[in-house]
Amino acid sequence: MTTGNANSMTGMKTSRRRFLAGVAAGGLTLSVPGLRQASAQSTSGDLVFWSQLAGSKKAAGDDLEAGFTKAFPSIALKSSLYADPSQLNEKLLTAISGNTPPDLFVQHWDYTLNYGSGGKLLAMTDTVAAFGAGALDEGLLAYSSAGGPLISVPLYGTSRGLGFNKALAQAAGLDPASPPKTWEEIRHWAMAMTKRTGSLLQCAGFNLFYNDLGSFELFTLFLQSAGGSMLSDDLKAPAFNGPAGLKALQFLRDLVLVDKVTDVGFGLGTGAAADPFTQKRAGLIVAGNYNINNSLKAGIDFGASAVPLEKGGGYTSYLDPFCFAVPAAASGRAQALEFIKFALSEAEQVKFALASKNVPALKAAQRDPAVQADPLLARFVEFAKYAPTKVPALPVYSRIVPIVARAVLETMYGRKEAEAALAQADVEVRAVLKGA
Amino acid sequence: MTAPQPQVSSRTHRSQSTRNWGAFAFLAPALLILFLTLVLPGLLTLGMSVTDVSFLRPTSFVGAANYLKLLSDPHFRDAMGNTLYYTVGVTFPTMAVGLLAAVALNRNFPGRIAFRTIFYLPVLTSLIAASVVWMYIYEPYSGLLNGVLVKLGLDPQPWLQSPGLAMPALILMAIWRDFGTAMIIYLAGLQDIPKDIYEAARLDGAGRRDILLRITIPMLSSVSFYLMIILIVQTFQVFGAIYVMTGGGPLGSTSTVVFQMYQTAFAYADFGYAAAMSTVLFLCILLFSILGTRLMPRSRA
Amino acid sequence: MTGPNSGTPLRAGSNSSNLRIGPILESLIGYATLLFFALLCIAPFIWMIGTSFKADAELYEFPPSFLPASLQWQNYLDAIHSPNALRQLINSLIYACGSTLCNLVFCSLAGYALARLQFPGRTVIFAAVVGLLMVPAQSQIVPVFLIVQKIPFAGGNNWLGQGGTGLLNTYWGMILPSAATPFGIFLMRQFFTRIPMEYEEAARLDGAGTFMIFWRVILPLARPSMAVLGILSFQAAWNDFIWPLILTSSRDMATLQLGLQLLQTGPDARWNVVMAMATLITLPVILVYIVVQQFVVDGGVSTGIKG
Repeated sequence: MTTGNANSMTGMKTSRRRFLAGVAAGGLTLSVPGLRQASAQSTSGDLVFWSQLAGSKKAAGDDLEAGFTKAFPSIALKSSLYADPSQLNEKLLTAISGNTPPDLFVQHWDYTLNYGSGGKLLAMTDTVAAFGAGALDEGLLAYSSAGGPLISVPLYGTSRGLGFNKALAQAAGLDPASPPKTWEEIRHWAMAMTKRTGSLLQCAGFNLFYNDLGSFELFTLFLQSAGGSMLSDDLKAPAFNGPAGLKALQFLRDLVLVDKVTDVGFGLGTGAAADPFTQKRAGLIVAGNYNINNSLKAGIDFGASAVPLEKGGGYTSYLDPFCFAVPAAASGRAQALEFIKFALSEAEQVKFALASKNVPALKAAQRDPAVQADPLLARFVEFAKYAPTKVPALPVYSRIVPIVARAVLETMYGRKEAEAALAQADVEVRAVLKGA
Repeated sequence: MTAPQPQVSSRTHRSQSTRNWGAFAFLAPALLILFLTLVLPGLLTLGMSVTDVSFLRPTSFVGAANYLKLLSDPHFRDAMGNTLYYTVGVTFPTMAVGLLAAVALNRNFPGRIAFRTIFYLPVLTSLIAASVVWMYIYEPYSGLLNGVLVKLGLDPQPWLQSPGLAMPALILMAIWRDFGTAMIIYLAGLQDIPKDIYEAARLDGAGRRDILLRITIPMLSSVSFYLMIILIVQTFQVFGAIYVMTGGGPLGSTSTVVFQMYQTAFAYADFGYAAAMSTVLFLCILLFSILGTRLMPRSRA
Repeated sequence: MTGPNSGTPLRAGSNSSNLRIGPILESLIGYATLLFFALLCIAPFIWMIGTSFKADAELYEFPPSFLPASLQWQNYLDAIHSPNALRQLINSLIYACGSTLCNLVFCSLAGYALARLQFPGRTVIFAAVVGLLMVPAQSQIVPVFLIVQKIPFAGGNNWLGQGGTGLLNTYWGMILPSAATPFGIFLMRQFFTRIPMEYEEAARLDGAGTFMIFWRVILPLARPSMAVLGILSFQAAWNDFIWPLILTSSRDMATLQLGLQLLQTGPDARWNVVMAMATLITLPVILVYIVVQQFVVDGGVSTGIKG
C-alpha cells in the first residue's frame, strides 16, 4: 500500500498499454498527427463541454470555465451542466449513438471506461505524457485505462474517510482529537453518539444507509479494512465472498441490528437535502470530499479521519476519479486538449481543489502549500494515499456496484444472512465478469 | 388542404359513403408524425431486441437470446411483480375515488366549482415538482406526514426507506395525482345519464346507495372501461416518480419494468436487452387491455 | 355539452320538497366530508408554498411546522436567479405552446377524417391509432433520438439524413414527438362522432367543401374538446422531463423542469428554494387551467370519451 508500488505498477502497465495501443486502438494512431498539428498553431473555434461539476463543485467549475474563456478568447466555450454522473451518462450515450458528442466532457471513471471500451474515445497517452512522467497522481490515473491505452485524464478525485460531527462527539464525551483507530473504537463512538427519544431516532451514531454507490463504498472500505479486496488480482473473479467480506458485512449488520446505532433505512433518499449529517442528525459517516463543502455550508464542525484497519495499525481508503475525455468523433479536439492542459496547470488545479475541496490530479497541486494549509482538504489528500494500489478499472464496474450494494443492504435490513447475501452476489458478479 | 368533392354524393348518400380520398390530406400530417415518433421507433426497438447493440461496441445479431435471458432473470420477474402491484394499486382506487368525487360534485350547491377545481389541481402539477414535494412530505424526520402522525400520537414511519412502505407511498401519491382525471371523466359521464331513470328509481323508493350501485355505476360502465384502459396503459409505464423519488429502491422494492429497462439501457448501455424488455412490456399492456375488454363485456352495450 | 348547472341533482327531491332538519344535517355532513378531502388534496400545495417561504433554519425542525414563521421572499429571488431561469422559462413556453398548437391542428384534422369521412382503410388506421396508445413511450427514447437526428435537410443533413445534427437542439425537434399523439386523435375522433350529421348536411347543401365544413362548421362546435386537448397537451409538454433532457445539449435549450431537477439534486440543495421553484413552475399550468376550466369540465371530456 505504498506509493512506490503504484509507480512501478503503472510503469509496467504503461508499456503494455503502448503495445496494445499500437495494435488495437485505431483512434490513437490516427489522432497523434492531429494532436501535434493542433497544438502547434494557436487554437480557435467552438468547444462544446459537458460536465457534472454541479453541487459542491459548481463554484470551482464556473471559475475554471471563466478562467479558460479569459485565457483563450478565440475559443468559444459552450458548456452544459448536468446534475450528476448518471444524467450526464444518459446524454453521452445518446449523443455517442447519434454521433453528436461534445468535444470534451468530465465524467465518473467507470462510465468513461465504458465509452472507451468500444474505441469511442480519443487515446490520451500522449496528452498525459506531455505533463511529464509522474506529474499526475498514479492512483487516479490508474482508472483511465482498462488495460488498453489511456482514454481519459483525471481532473480530480474524491477519497473516503470517516467523517464526524465534532460537537456531537464532544457532547457524547468523546475526544474529537483522537478519532477511532480500530473497529472496536468505531463501534464505541457510534454507540456513544446515538441518541433516541423513546423509539424515535434523534441522531444516528453512525449513518450506515446510503444509495447503491454509497453502500458499495461502505462495504468496500470495511472489506479492505478486514484485509480483503473486491476482486481477484487479475480482476477476473470476485474476491469479496471470503472471511474478510463476511466479517465486514457482519460488523456493519450488527451495528444496525444489534447495537442499533441507526435505524434501518435511516437517511436513505435521493438528493443531499435528505442527508442527516448536515442536519446534525448523524455522528459518524463515510465521508468523501463533497462532504467538506456541504458540512461547512450547514455549519457543522466537521472532523475527518482515515478509515482504520480492523485491529488498527494502518488505514484504508477508496478513490473515485473524475476524468476528462474527448470523444473520437469530436470536431473541436484541439480546443478540448487546450482545455485539459489549462485545467491541469498547477495554478488552476490549486484553485479548483481549494474551491471544490477535491483531491487535485496534479501531484504538484496536492503538495501546494495552500492546499496543505486547508486542514480538511489536506486530510482527504492524505486519505487518497491509503487507497489500494490495485484498482478495479473495468468497464463493467458500474454493473457490479448495484449487485454488491443489494447484498449489503439486504443484510443490513435484516432480510438475509450475510453469508447467503454475499454468496448470491458472488454468483451474479461472476456472471457479469464472465460476460465482459 | 381543401378537398373538393362531388356535391351530389352527400345528397344521395345520407351517411357519406363515398370514398373521400381527401381524407388522406386530413390524416397525413398526424400519421406522418405518429409514424416517425411511434411506429418507426417501435420497429427499431423490435430490431434492436435481437441484437446486443450498445452503441459503443460493434453490434452483432443474437437471435432470441435476450428474450430467453428475460425468462430466467429474477430481477425482471421482480420488476414485473412490482409493476403489477403498482398498476392494480393505482388503477382501481383512483377510479373509485374519482367516481365518489364525481357523484358528490354532480349536483348544484354553492362552492361546487371550487371543490371541483381543488380536486383537479393535483393533475396539473408537474411530475418532478410533485415528486419533490412528496419526497419532502414523506421525509421521516422533518416531513409533513410523520409530523401529523406524531401529533396524533402514532409512531413515525420510514416511508420511502422501507421496502414494505415505499411502493404504497408511491401509489398514494399517484392516486392523489390521478383521481382528478377520473373525477372529470366521470362527471362528464354522469351528465349523460338520463334523469328520468333516477326519477323512476326514486319513485320506486330506491335509496341513494341503491341508486349508486344499481344505476349510476352500471350506466357509467363504458366510461369506466375507457378510464381503466387509460390508467392501465399509464401505470404500466410508471417511471418518473420512481426515477426521482426512490431510484428503484429500497432493496429493489420499487423497481418497475420501465425503470429497469431505463437502467439497462442507460446505466449499462445494454440497449438490446432493454429493447427486449420494451417489447415484452408492450405485449403485456396489450394483453391486459384485451383482458380488460373481455372482462367488461356488458360495458359496450 | 350542457351548461354548468345541468348536473343531475341526485337529491333534488329532498332539497326542494322539505325543510326538515335531516337534510340540513346531511348536507352539513356532506360539506364537512368534502372539505376534509379538499384539505387532504391541497395539503401538498400548502406544504409546497409554505415551505417555499421558510427560512433555512426552519427546514429541519421536528415536528415540522406547517406554515412558515415569516415570509422569506428571498427564496423566490434565489430560485429566479438560479442560472438561466428566464431562458428556461422561454424554452418551456415555446415547447408547451408549440406542442399544444400542433396537437390542436393535427389531431383535430385526423380525428375529423376518422370520424366523418369515408375512405379505404379507415378501420385499420383507427385500430392502429388505438394500438399505438399502448406503446411504452419511455423505451422509444433512443430510436426517436436517432430519427430526430436523421431528419433529411435539417441541421446540415443531406437528403439521406446524414452529415448533420438534424433537429437535435432545436425547438422543432423538441416538439416533434408530441406534435400529434394517438390520445389526441382518439379524443377528437370520439368527439366528432357525436356531432349530429345535420350540421354538415346543411353546410353541404350550401355548397361547402370538406375542409370548409370542417373549418367553419365542425371546428367551432369542437371548442370544448379542443380545450381539453389543449390543456392536456400543454400540461404534458410543460411537465415533460426526459425528452428535453435527452434532446437538448446546450444550456440555451434547457427547460424549467431540467432546471428544477438540477436545483434539487445538487448536494447543497435547499428545500425552500426548490419548493419556490416548484411553485413557480406549477403556477402557469394552474392559471391556464382556470382560464379554460369551464370548457374542460362541463363539455369537453364527456364528449371525447364515449363511443
